[in-house]
Amino acid sequence: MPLAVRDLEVSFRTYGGSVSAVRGVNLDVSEGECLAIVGESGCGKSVTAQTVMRLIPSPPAEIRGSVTMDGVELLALPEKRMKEIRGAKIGMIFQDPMTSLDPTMQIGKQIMEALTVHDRGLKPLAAADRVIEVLGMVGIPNPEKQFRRYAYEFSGGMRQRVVIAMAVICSPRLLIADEPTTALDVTTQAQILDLIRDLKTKLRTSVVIITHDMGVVANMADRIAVFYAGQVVEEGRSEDVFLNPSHPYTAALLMSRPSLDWDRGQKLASVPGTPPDLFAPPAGCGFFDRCAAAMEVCREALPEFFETENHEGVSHRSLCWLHHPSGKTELARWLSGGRGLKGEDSQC
Amino acid sequence: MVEARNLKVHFGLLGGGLLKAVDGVSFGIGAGRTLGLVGESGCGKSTTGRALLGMYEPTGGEVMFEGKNVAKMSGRERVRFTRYGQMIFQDPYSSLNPRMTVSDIVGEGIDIHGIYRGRERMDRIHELLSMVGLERAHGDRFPHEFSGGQRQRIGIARALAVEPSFVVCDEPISALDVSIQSQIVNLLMGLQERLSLTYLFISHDLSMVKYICERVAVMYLGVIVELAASDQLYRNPRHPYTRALLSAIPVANPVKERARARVILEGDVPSPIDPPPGCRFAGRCPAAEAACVQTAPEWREVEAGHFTACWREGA
Repeated sequence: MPLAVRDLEVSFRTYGGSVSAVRGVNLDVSEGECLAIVGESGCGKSVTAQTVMRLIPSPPAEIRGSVTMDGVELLALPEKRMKEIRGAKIGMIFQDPMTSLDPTMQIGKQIMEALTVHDRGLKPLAAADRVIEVLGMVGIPNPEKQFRRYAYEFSGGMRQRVVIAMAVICSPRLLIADEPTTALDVTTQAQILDLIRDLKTKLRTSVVIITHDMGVVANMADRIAVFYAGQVVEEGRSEDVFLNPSHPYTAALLMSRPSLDWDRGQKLASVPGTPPDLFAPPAGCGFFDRCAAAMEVCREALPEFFETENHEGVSHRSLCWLHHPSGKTELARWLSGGRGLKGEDSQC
Repeated sequence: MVEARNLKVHFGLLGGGLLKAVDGVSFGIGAGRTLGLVGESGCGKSTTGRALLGMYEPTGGEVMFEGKNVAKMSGRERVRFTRYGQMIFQDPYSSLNPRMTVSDIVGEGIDIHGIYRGRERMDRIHELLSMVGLERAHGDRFPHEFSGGQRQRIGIARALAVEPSFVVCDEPISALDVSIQSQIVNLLMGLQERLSLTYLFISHDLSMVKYICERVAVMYLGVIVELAASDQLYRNPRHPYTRALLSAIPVANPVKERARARVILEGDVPSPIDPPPGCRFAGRCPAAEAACVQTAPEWREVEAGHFTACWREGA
């Protein structure tokens, strides 16, 4: 298994108290697979990715749990060893290609730096050849000429290609793309997604793509992990999660964006309220306040993961009490206790 | 009710050159209707919206508001026009003055146009706040105390304070999270019905535009390339750019998404500074031929209510 994250917890100490950004996340990425992490801003998806890369300094952050890559525990690794992994075994693509490149350095040199840091014996000429080869591979026309140009001379889409070239030049085992297309226009987004998919097959690398766009997820992912308030609330194969969402948040997320293939008159569901304050994380389910199907148990106790069954058998898992094995009896018991469902009409 | 006739907005650049941000667009919006204006960044959609409200003086062409040419309005008419045409901005962080309380932000337009005073003014502000889903007590707070979605609600209350009839919504949801976007969209649509507002809805989000708008105009590099009823446009796009744009949007359904054929455009949008004479899209168009590069295509009605500018329409 290239990447395994176990019981990851990340919290930051601030003047206002401690924020629990990631609250017990488990993830697995297997060989050649594309895992999509979906969620809204502040749900902990980027913090998780940056913790995997060890980009979050601790202290001040408190990190618990385990992140292993090919059996090596990354969280315990000395910084010197981590440097050998970062860039070489795990490549990262950042959201904003405008700020992730050095404006004062030729783009060819920048990419070359990523290469020579990991292979000090490499001759400059051989390194430059490799850079030109990779620039061509990511679809930059006339790579020999572009080598000496600066980031400001490129458009957003072209800059993102440069960032991707830098991330893949050492042929990493795992590529983490944090909102790689959010800053780009749709036609450019389509080009970049195509490129990432292409590279994934060519280099046989695993990909973790972080996004809030369900369309991008459908286009790229083999598996999906839906994040909410620092937790994974639903996880499974792409088809299962999309066609048979079992967590109310996932269902709401899918219904709150109109799709081009919608029929006229289909209504946008809006989720009332905002995500919980992670300075004081709720005792029960994080989605409780906004959930139309919430039960009394959801307020008091943190849900566990339950497997969801579809007609083909067990398909995926979600963090929701509605899927408790004795769900129906449980539900009935809570109802008879006079503290039943919050009511179907509470959704606006 | 609002009409743009061959509207042009050009900016002279330092060191020569002419940036043709908007170069001859024409459309009309009927009272109580919503027109969507879509396109990629830099295509001139925001400039068009601003020119409609008189925030930019048009270089050529004219803007008609309730049958009158905005450029020829008298002083008093012009003031009236600034009241009835309002704008909701994209970025709820930079479009609210951080040093003003929410009631002052919402009340500023009321004061300028002298609509209400004293008690009535405060009552009106509270009414507006509740209309957009905020509480009375929020009026005494400052913008930094609110989340993005709430700030956008403040921006909407400010626009509605002067009882406008026409509102330009310039990417009102693109800075917001998905679950908050739907709240704001539902609010905007509810308000339109209640106050019979006319909207120009500017967005790069084609699926949202399809959901909200009755008619849609697609812009590319300063010109409108296609305009039609939204069902018609999405079902049967005539211009190659519209087709490429529609096929580039990912659909949130993995089965359909994998089965879809795409038109992937090569290259980037060219610069709007001194654009070439022919069709603006010719350089990236998969169907372009010699005529496209030489002369700009005419604006034609290809079906009832369906307009496009393409020499190879139907090819």
